[in-house]
Amino acid sequence: MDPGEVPIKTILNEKVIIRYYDDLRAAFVSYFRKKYNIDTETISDIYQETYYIVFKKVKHKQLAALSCTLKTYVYSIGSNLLLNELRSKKLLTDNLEKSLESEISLDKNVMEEEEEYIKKTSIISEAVDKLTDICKSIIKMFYWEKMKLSDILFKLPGHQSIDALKVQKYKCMKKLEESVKARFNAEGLN
Amino acid sequence: MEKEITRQEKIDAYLLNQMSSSERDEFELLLDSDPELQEEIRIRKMIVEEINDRESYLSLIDQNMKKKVLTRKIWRAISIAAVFTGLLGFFIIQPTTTSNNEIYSAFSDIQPGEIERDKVTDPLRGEEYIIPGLPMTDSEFGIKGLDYFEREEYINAASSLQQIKNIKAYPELMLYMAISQLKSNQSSSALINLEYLSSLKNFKSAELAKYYLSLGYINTGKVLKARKVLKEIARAKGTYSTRASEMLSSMRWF
Repeated sequence: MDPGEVPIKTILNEKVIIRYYDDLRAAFVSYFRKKYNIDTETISDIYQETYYIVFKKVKHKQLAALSCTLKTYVYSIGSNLLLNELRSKKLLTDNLEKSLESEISLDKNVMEEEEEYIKKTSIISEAVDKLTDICKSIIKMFYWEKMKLSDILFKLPGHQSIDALKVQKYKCMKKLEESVKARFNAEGLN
Repeated sequence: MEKEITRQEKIDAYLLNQMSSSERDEFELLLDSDPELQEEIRIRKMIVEEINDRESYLSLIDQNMKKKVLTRKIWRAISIAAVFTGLLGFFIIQPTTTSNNEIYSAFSDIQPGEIERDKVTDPLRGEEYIIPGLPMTDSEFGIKGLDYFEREEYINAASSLQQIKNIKAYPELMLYMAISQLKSNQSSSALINLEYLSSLKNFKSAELAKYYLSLGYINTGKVLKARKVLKEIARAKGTYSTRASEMLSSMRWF
């Protein structure tokens, strides 16, 4: 079966969804690049973000109720992200908007939920990106690699003690949380 | 700020499932009656989830790509070999069959050097051992850790030795800690500490640290890194060069 035609609810975990990453990528990039005359770099970034949303949803078992195929879901989310991207760059014409909206085949209610989810994800992701490199390293090592602070201390020169590192981590998280909360409030999200 | 940091530590321990069941129950009671704490946890949970999802996504894509590249390389190697030598089977069946686990078990029996201990008499506590040069509390953790190590209770050994405040200043003890971590499946911590110890200049057990570093790499499937370190040990013609060569000849190729 064409990987794009796989019913999305049958994809049970994140390792399975990653297997289809390459198979769908070439078709997605080629389709949007040709049809909308968009450069490969932009459309590749859109695909990367689109697939990340799909990955997250599969990982957290949030797609089990959908009856569409993987391709329908990816193209709908991708079109939505592309719309936002072109809108933010002030490159969205009326025709382009109509045409991209017609690519979105998901139910309106589903799409509204997805949009909120995408917004929240990108707000958090942007807030993390804006942190200093040292904050990003500490947070990544602590939460993702599950390293103890005593081990992080060996990896990061410049911190003399665990107590100093604790203070630094606290400041980084505080800044991150404040920034996320402010953006959520500004966008009317909760 | 100290109080706030302690509160944050509790939130992390709660979100990362690092609380005992009684601590969790106590924390959840507090959580039920504190809306501010509930909001803090909700936001932090989203952030931690996002960090973990993003890293997990990138790492799976990376692995997927490497797997594809590796598969292509292997097939290319197999094809070339098949054409030129007709020894296709040679590449499929590796010349050695010793698994990583077997190598790790067979070669991880070397003990680090003795740590000097002095017997002292305390007017209140009577006779006891201390490690010269260490503050009293650290010395107690050190002695306790070494005792656990001798009894092969590596989780307890690692946990005691980790409590020594500035263990970096005592690399010999740190080596005990890293080996204990390795032997109690705390591989990522063990590797960080062994990498650090292996890079130390004028550390008399640096060769042993490297030796255990290679075992750590084998244990975590990082065979190429293990081979690199083992080759360095073998070339240096030191105490463990013969063992390193033996390991190299027993290891699988990839």
